[in-house]
Amino acid sequence: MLDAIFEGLQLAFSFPALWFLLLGIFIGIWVGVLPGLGGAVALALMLPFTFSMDTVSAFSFLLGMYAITSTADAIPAILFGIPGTVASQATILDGHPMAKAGQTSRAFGAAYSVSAIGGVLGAFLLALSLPIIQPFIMAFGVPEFFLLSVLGLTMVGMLSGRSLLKGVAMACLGLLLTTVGYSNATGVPRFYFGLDYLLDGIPIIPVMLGLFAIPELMELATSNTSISREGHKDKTDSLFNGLRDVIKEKWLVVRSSVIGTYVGMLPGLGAAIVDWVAYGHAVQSAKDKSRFGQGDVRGVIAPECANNAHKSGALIPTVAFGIPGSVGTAILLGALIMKGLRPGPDMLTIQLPTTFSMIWSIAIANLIAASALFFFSSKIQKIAYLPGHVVVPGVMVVLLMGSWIGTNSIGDLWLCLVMGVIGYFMKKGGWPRPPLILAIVLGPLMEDNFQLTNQIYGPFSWLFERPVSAGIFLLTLIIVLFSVFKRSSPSEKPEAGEGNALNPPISIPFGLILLLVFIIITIQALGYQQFATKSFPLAVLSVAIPVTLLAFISETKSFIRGGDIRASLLGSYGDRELNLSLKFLAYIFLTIISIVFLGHIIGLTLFVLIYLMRWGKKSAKFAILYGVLVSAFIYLFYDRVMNVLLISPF
Amino acid sequence: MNNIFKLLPLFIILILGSCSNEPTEFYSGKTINIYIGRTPGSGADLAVRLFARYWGDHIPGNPNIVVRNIPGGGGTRVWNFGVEGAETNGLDIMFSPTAGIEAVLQEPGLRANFSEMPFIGGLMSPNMAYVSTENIETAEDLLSTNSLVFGGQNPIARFDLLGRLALDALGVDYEYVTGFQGASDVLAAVRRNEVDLQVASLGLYRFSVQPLVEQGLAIPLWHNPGTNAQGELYALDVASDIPSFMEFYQDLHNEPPSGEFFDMYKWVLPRVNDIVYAAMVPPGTDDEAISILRDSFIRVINDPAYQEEELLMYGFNLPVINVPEGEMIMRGLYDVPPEVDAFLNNYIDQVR
Repeated sequence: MLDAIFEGLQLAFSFPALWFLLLGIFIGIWVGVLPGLGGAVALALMLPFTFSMDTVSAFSFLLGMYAITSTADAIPAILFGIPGTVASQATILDGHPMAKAGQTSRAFGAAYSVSAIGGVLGAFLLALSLPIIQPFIMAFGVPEFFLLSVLGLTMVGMLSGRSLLKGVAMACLGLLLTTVGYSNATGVPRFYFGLDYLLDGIPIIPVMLGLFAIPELMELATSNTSISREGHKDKTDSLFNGLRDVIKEKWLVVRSSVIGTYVGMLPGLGAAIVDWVAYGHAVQSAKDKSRFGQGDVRGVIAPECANNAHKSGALIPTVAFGIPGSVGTAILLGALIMKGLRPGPDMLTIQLPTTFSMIWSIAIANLIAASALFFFSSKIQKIAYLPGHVVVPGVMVVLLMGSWIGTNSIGDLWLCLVMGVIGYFMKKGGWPRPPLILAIVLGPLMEDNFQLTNQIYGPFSWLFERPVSAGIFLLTLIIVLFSVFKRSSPSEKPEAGEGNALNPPISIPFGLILLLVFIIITIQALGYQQFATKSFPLAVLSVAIPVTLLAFISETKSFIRGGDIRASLLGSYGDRELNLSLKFLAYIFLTIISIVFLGHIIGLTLFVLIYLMRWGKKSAKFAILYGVLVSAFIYLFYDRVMNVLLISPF
Repeated sequence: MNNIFKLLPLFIILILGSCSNEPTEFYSGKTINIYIGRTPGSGADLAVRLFARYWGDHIPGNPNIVVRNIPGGGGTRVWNFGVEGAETNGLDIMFSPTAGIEAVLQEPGLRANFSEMPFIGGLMSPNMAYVSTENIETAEDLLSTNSLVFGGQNPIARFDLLGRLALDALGVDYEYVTGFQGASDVLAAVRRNEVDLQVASLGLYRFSVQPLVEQGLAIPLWHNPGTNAQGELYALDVASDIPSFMEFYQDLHNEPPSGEFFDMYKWVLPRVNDIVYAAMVPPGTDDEAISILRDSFIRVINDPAYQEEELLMYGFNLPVINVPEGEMIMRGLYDVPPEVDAFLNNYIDQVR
């Protein structure tokens, strides 16, 4: 095998393969930085260019692009709280608070270095694991996938802050959102309320962008502070401090790499899950959890390390078994076939040097990308100190375009806005957002594999007959019991997180509305004829309704006991920030309306002009220059380069 | 004067020539948008992008071709766009997997009527059934086993429907398990011995299943045949190494296929399986544009460079559906006898 490893290295470093690797990295950085694009879109667009390349060059180019989107996606996640791709959702939980606290460079330093280490360690672990890969992958069937998603959901306890009830209610809402659209098990459309847009289900990108990024932009717009609330660079904020953090947390890095590589090997689990699993592990294994969610560097290290290690792992089921676990790996499989290679055991025997050249390409790409980003970071981190009014229009344009790209539907923009409104009130009312996103990621995996398990293995006997299932179940049980025990222990410090915010005048009506929504959905679900269509939503609702009711009662009781109700109500509803936030939401609403009637370029440029001149009180000259640059960017990049369908004027 | 009369035909030709809209002029300097109802990177997206790369070269005037994605609505949104939002100037083409079963079953969300959209050309994506050798050793064992599990994606997916109808026509005792997210997930389940039988595209078979066949881990069973203009089934040349369903049935039962399930299989087959990727333009599109696009579609199919790339991508060339065949199939989607409608709805509801 050593021969193959070195031969693979030689191939990866050969010319012109190395040039193509660099080109792939350059494109991958852009794709990772711009939200909504994702590696798969870039791979699909670039695939035709590889037809005339030799095999190693083609894979160097594609893998260079594919591997480092999950390095570059940390930039918007940390700076703006916008995940560049689905793989950096968990990074925003601590990365963005670090930027707000004037620790942007430190967060970048940690993210880039663990991305490189994760990528290289992932490749190394993969090489070590080749002999045991097949039995490992085969040991995970549909019951194990179902139980892994249940295990993943236990992280809700860690992401809920003070109020577990609110966290569980939010997770239930997330699971229910995943049941919108056609049911895979029965082909019956659910909860789509006659809207074609909802037939395919709720897309995660607009939800994620709305839930996390819009509230952040609202905060910037209403306060006009810079992203870094400190306003100036902290003395301790440097890339090398981030690197030092990584060295200090070396065992977390190793564990996260292991998680990333082995979860990546399981086809179908995907990048969206791996960062949450690693984040959950970081929280769980930490002695002091109080800083998580408020800018704990370990919350950046774990997901960024795992999502890069995952890329190596995901390559194996694709090349060795012809089973791609994602759209990105499916395109790589297509490229493999077009180069005359056949996925299968040959890729682990006769073609082993080629397989290793791919693994090496991923490792080298990660190292080069991390070094390049290290180099440019001093420029990028300056964005964190720009005035909020300068940052908001540009980021809002990228955010709305990122929401649009997925399905090119105006429904995506409305969904993003609705989730922005919900996200804002969740944040204000102390209803934690991370459990909602986690549940949206895990929901389809949970329902589909639960239905398949029931069909193939029958009800629950598999739990005792399959050792891996029994092991995961036991682990889940231990985690749940341990969390409950720790939460009830008086000496335990409260966990950090959004559930800690207390604002009953917002939290109570939010809880009441949520309860009503759950009741309406229950009535609708009971109307479905087929058991498989309604069983999962009803099971979720059976938890959601009592838990939300309890949370509502508990909030109301503590509010009444809390004393001056009038002052509290005035404090919340008479808040200037709340009024400004609602005004900002009206700006987004009008922008979407103008996109519908005037098209993307005019609609978004108008938003930029009006925002800068009316809200930001900037000069007309500055606003026009900004507007011209934005319209040129939309036209040249999204329309001409990416061929995204844009709405034309009139 | 005589000379003038002699030159008259020449003048007439010149005048007529200058008035006629040459095909070269129609698309010269223009951009054609091809809309596909799947996400970038999906199998259908790659197939259409491959075709699109050659199409511009075969259209007189060499227009620029841009592929744009309109996924959603289970693949129906792009077709709705074709009748509600697309231009009729010949510059907007929908080239996407058809929603045949959705049209037949009148599923919610599909508002386009395929029979009213001018048909430009179509490509068939052949498919086949294979079985794992974990529980059965030969095709004949299908009739004696009672532990066969057929894995699919959802009850109205074409592979699920065709697979169930074929197995029922053969008289196989099987269990139907559905809800896998994609064909690769079913294949993974086959490899884990959770599922025995899958109906898969010929492309997936060639590159991911055939190695299993060579290792003795799977056996190919049948390929779903094509249907000619007379409504007769025919074996596909591109899948000649796998028996067609009629041949498979004949081998197993020593008689030609027949019965209620086979009749339904034969009815459903052309409507859901013959045109997988259809290129159509909005109703009311300029006739000249339609004619140019139809001619150029055929020229792409016959382009050796395109054929070579297609061969690399799939391991075979996708069979072509010409205009009369395509139009016939599209009309057939809306000619659903009440007894067929009742049978299909009942048949699908049984497994929901």
